Amino acid sequence: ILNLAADFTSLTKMLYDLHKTQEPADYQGSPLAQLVVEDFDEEQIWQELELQNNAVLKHFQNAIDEAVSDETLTVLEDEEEEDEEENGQEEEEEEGATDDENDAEEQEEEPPIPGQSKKKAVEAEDGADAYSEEDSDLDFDVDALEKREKQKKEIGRKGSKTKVVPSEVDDTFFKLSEMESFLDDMDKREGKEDEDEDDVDYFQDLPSDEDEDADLVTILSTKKQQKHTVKSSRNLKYKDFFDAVDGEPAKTDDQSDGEDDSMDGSQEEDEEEMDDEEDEYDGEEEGDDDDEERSQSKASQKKVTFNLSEDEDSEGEEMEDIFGGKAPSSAKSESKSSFEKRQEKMAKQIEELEKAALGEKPWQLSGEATAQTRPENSMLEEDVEFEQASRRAPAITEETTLQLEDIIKQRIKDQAFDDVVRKEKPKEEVFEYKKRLTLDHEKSKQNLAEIYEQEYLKQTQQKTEEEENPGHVEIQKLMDTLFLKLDALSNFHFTPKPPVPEVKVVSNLPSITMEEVAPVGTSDATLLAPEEIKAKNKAGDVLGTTEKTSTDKKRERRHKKKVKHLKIKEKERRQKLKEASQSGEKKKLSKAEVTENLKKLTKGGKATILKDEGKDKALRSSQAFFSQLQDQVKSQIKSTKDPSSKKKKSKELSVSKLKL
Amino acid sequence: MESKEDADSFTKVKSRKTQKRKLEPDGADMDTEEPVKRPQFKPLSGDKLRGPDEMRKIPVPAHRYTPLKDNWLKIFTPIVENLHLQVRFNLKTRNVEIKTCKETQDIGSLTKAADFVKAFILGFQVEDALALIRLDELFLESFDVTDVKPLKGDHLSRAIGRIAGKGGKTKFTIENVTKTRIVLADTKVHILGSFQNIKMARTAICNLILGSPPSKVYGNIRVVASRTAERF
Repeated sequence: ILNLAADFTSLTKMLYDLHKTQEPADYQGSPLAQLVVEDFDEEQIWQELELQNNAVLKHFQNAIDEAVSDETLTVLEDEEEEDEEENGQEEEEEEGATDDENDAEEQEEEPPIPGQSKKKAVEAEDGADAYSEEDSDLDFDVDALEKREKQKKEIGRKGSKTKVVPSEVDDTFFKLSEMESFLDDMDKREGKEDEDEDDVDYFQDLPSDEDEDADLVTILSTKKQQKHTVKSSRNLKYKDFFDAVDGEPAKTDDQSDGEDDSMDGSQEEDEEEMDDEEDEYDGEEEGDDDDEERSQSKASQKKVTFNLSEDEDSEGEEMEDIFGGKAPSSAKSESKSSFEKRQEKMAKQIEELEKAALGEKPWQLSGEATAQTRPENSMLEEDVEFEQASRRAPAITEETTLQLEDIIKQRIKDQAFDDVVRKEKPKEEVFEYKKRLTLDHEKSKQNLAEIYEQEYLKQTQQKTEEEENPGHVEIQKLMDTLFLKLDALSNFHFTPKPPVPEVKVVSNLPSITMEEVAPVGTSDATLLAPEEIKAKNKAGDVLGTTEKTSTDKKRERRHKKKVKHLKIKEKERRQKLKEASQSGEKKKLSKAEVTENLKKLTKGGKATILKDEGKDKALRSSQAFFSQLQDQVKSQIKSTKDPSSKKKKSKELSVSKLKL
Repeated sequence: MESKEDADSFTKVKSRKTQKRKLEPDGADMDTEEPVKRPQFKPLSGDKLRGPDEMRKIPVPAHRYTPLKDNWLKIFTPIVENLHLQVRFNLKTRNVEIKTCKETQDIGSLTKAADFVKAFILGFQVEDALALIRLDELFLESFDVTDVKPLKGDHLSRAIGRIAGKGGKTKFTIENVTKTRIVLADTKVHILGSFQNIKMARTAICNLILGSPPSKVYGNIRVVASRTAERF
């Protein structure tokens, strides 16, 4: 038993010492750097431990309070935390011998909390226990980590605990809600101004794994996040940042878990540092960094993000840089100064630019490009600027169609059609001629004032006339007719109709013939003007036959022929129509048509008209016909028998000649 | 500005001499008040607004002396009775003088009267010239035949003859169609009428001067006149 006790004390001492060496600056533990156990009895050892515990307890309590107050933590975790806290607290109250275990446990509890907070978003529902077990191996790292995490608590937790609100632009690589939440965090951070970024040491070399332990204290002491790296940036590999290539959110491997934990906390800082370096020569905005950082901050939810604001040239370089050490240009090992790195990048860029300048230009920059010289469908991706002289055809969309239809419907309702009105040549009546302005060659009877007065009156009177009620006019007319009828009925004597305004007929005779008495003065004002009789030809005066030139004659001839042609055509058309309408029925031809047909037939000589020679009366019967025929034949024979007879051959009665 | 302050309905336009703005006795206070404030003047009676009497003089050439004497009654009656002006013929200076008086209501009537007398002096009939008083929009235009085309001697005479026509026929025709009055005084042509009509008549006369036959001119003015008549 004594040995056991001695073992316990020595163990306690060891643990205490180890713990003390690893203690971060703000722990404010007890002032004792080592647990003195020699010649101390339990009471004294216990007091030493109590010193440490009390000091540390406060710290732990703060951490727990914050963890509890942090609303992004789920109930489950809280419970777990609380359980663990309670456990821890209970255990704390126990004897000092178990103090170390308490410490260990408490330390265990603490890291799980931030660790869980980071792992929260992970589908892996192993829960905190598994992690806590794994974490216990890396207590010290995790302790340091935890301190850092507290500073960056909000970011880490929020970054991992925000519910992913799906948005339109989301895909496997990018989540809008994540970006927004990260940006909020960054804003808050800047608002707090807890960190002074002036202290950022851009030239500091990123420590490697081996250096970590040694540097940890110094790193922590500066309170700078950017300094915290666990892994040298050059040794980072793709899988440290991104998921497996198939794009699924990878479940963290056990292997890389520990590294992940440390990485998660430091990944953001890593990237920040790297991005700072990149800032030096790219000048990129924070937003793009945020994308990368935030995406990386989620544990095991690594997405590939592309820095779109950067040059295309530098993009590849960045990736190379991020991958670390894969670029062939980095001949040196990890310990390259930042200046050298910058120079490298610059040189790379220069090389690229030179290559581009010397090499073949793309088709866009090499003058005229026909379809054969450029790749297929490459114009579709080009933004071409050209001027169009003509107006573009209106784009027909649904809206335009609907608008058009509305207009059409409205027009139909209003009956406001755009029908083409038949244009009629205004044929001026010859009698209108007189109504035109007549020239008075005499001095006007009225003076100027009167003329204008009359004009003015005319104008005003016109207005009053128009204002006359058409209804009144109608009424007046009806009444007149009625009264006329009544008058006619009520009078014994015939009352003629009231005189209607006479139409005076002016005859086109010289006035001297109308009047017997020689007139004092003759005037031809009463005569009709020639234009009133016959409208004047547009061409001009009438020409006599001797006055016409050959062109005039030809013109007339052409005109005549045209008119005649039209007439004939018209006639034929009518004829055809008539026949078409009469088709099928018994065609009764008119006399004129009959003679027409006859003439047509005889013209060609194909038919001859039988002429009636006045012998029809006797030939009404067949007997008479045949007797006549007989007589004729006899006479014929006689004539042939008697060749000397110079009988005039009487008219042969041939069958054809007889009217049958 | 003072007229606005005028309480009376009197709208007489006062003479320019009295239109200088008079500073108020308390004008020094103006600056202390709002800068945009209108100066307040006391309302004046009508008598004070009237300035001295204005006068117009129209010289009379010798050949119009007798017609003036003959038509004097017809001339001065409308001027005195309708326009309320004072008119006299100054024998010494041979001018017709028209003056405003107390009864004159409209200062513009003085100009009208002057134009009326001037038209008569130029050669228009009294009744025709009277239209100037009755109608606002009548004007008087004069030009020389030589202005249109530099003619000399017989050509000039022939041009004048073309304008007049046989027995004044052409001139009357133009007058009737365009509703104007034309006076041909040797080489001077005076036209009295409204603006558009003066233009029509002037065009016709110029065409005649330039040599086109009267029938053509008739045709042209008839067309133009019918067009203007249709418009109204």
